[in-house]
Amino acid sequence: MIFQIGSALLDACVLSVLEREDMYGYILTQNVKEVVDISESTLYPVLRRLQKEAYLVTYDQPFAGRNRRYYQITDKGREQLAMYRKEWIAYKSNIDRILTGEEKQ
Amino acid sequence: MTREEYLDILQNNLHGIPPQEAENIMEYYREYFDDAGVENAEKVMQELGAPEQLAKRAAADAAAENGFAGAAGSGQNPGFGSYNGQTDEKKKHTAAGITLAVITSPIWASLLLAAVCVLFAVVITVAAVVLSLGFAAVVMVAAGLFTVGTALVTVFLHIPTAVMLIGAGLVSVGLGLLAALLTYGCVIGIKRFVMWISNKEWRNAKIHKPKIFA
Repeated sequence: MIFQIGSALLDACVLSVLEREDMYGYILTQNVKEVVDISESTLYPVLRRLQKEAYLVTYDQPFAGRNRRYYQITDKGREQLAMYRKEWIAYKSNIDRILTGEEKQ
Repeated sequence: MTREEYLDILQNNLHGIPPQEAENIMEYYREYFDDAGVENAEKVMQELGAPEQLAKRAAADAAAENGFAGAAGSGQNPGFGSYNGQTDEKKKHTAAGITLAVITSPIWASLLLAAVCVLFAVVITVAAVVLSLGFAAVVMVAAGLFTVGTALVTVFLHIPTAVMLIGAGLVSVGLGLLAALLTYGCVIGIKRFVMWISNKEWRNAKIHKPKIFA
């Protein structure tokens, strides 16, 4: 992949994935990896930061004799995600305009 | 190496962060290995990279977020795939840059002041020279004309003197005109120079302006 993903965009992707369903670290990483070329260690600091900003909360669920930590999006997180989506549309159309010379509404 | 060895090395290399942070990191990656399953352990270890490096990056991130200075190895994060972690780095660099500028200000400020003074002096000198040249031109032409005028009167008294006066007067006028031409040339040259400089400045500024946001 030539284009690197910025940290805000990565946050947005993580929140978007979690909006659909709560996930634990490993599965979340695999999901994001399908779309964006990130390393397995990329998400930990992202998740921690999102948690610190109260966009996510965590809860543990017992699984196969151990605990599995799930990440869940909060209402504040949903608001932030909505903002990110708006920003993305504007950003995307700007880039399109410069890169492909098209005007997309 | 086994996953246990990996996790051990990771734990032992988490320096410079509070124990709670370290425990969080360890929990996350222990779980990560668990969820990946035994069959994927090797792949995960490869993807995560060397445990010492992972520890360094994780500790640096934790320290940066909590504002701890001097944690293990801040700086670039090579193992983060394409994740662009530039924003924190840039903030640190800018703060360091500003501090450095303030500390060294006695040096660069005085140098700057000296440079400005020199520039000012040069400008004044050039102006003085050109002005004097201009005045000299005017004076010489005027004096020359006046001398020729005097000669026209002297012609009635003593012809050789008149002839000499006419000659001298014309020389003065000639020199004066030359000086005038020189002055004009200087003024044009300065004008062109100033325009050339200002064109250069604006061209440089224009190139740096457009910023496509990353």
